[in-house]
Amino acid sequence: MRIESYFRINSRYLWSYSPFSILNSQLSNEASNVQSSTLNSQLRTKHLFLLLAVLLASCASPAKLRMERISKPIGEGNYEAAIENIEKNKKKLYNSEDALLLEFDMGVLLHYNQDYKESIKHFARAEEILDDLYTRSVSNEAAALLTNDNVRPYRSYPFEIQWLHKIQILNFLALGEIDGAVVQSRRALLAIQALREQEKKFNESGALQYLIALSFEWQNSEDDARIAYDNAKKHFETSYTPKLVAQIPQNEQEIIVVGYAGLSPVLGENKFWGTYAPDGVLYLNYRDANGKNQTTVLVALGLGGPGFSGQTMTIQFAIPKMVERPSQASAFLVSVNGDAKLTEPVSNIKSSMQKDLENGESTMLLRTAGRVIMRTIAASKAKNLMQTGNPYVDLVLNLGTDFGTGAMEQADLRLGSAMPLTLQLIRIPVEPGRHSLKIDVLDQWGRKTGSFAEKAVNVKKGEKVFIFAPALR
Amino acid sequence: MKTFHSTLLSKLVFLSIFLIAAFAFTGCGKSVKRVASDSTIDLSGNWNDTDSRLVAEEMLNDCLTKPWYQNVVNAKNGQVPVVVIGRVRNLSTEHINTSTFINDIQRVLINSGKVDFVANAEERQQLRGEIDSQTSNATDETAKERGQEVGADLMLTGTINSIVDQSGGETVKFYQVDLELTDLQSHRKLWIGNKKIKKHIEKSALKL
Repeated sequence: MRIESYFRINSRYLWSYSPFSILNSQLSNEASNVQSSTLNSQLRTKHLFLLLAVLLASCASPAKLRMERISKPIGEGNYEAAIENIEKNKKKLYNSEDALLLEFDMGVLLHYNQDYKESIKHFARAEEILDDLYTRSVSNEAAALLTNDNVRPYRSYPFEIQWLHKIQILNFLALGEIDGAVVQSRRALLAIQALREQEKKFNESGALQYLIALSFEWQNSEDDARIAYDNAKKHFETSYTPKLVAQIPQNEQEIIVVGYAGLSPVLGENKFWGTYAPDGVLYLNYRDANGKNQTTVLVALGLGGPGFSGQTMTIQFAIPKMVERPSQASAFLVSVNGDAKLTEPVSNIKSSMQKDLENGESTMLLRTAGRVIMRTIAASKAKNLMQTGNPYVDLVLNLGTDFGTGAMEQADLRLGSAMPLTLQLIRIPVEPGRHSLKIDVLDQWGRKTGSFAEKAVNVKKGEKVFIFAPALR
Repeated sequence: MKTFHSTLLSKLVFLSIFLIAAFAFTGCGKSVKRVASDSTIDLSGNWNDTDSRLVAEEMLNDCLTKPWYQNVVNAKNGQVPVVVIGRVRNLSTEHINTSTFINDIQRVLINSGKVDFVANAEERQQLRGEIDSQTSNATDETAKERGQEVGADLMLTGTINSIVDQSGGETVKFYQVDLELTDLQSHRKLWIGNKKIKKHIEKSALKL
């Protein structure tokens, strides 16, 4: 009977816009019975702390640790070390809910390390996981209601799904497997179609469409290539359409340099704290992007209820916010046989991440605020229950409960750990034969901050040779 | 009369039991059992070994019963035609390992006893490398000679195409496999066959 009752509460919470009144009304009806407590206080305390321990243990996320562990070798261009680090510390760096992220990070790092075949395997597994994640687990969603979003399986942001396809297409192109690249391009088109259906405001990637077009072009599927190039023009994330879209060399041999420049933004916690006053008014404080404390008042009618008349509770919660990182790499100067040209940015993670975060913000805020208020009400009731009459013991219990509920609240900071700030591209038509290639890394002021070793590139008639230049620093 | 705290505590305890049970049920480890290699098991709805095997068997059995076969045998004074497998291109939306499909095609053709086979272009390169190695390393009696290969009469080529229609948790996948047999001398197409497969896949939005 009671389990059924819980199912009802939680399932209604999941799908209802004003769910708290349901729990609240139950709690407030029962509040009148507080005085007739029958349970032993020690037993109650034990139960609550046990539950708290289980919940706390299940909600810790290794997102920050992951970023710390692999960003150093990535910055040094030592992708092998980053891969080894992940393989050795897989369990420490990724929770079981982060399976998608693990495959995604491995796929990206193996791509940088020019192990395209292995990268393909990891991205293929990531695609399978994504497919399975269409089905949502009720138990995970219920657990997330009590703890935080980190206990839900990581589903990735739309921009990450598009990056997965971008790099996977590039993997096949790097191997010269044109049919494989075209198959992946078609899979990308299906993924785009699914994202258009799922997302209210889908931020489509022009760069992905451009790579799809490039694959079709190389396969001589002219109509498909033309459609994809047209779509690319419509959807470039950068504020301008890259020049290379207007200058498509058809069926010529080319050297195509793909650069990964700079450090993508990461996610930090945006902490909100405030008071939930009677009559359903929520006073929230938060620190804005400039670091200034701000206050906002939200009307949250129906959350108080008669049981909370006269009570004011302190709440705190955290949601992810984008944190930029300074980059030493902004573009590449590519010299073929001494003729130097600059790459163009075709994809910018900062702008696509920002749009994806904005698109999901209202849903996330609603879910987070609801969870925290529900938990705060429950914690307040629990504190009342655990009162022993001994002021010292009560103080410790109250502090412990506040600490526990506060510690449970963690923003979901999960994100691909090895992403660049921009994807850079340049296509250089060449004659068949041997060419000397040199790539310099430039910062945002055009100063040289590094370079790749000069090398000779052999290009056969009609061939497109892909050269990759990752500079994630 | 139920008290507030007893109800609340019961709910918390039941919820924790429910969650632990749910996690336990969803992570019940791995089980492995052996099944017949020709059994049909569809998991994801993607192209699988059963599709590869059934398509090869149905198409090639059809191919070998068509009039072209007797015409070629007559033209070769009763000798069976020699076939080489060309490229089977994957133009679908899935990364299909076409080599397993080609192996299935070869198996059906060889087992029919109606055609002879020669190695494909990639295998021939490897074989020629071996012959070159024998020329300088093997005894004169055992070393094989270059220029003694059997030339194929016919080449089998094909494509695997797919069309996917999806909405929410529902997907309809349509595969079409086209195979062609071409006379290498005249470039005449002797046989064209196709096989179509349609799959309806439904994904549930919720699970325990």
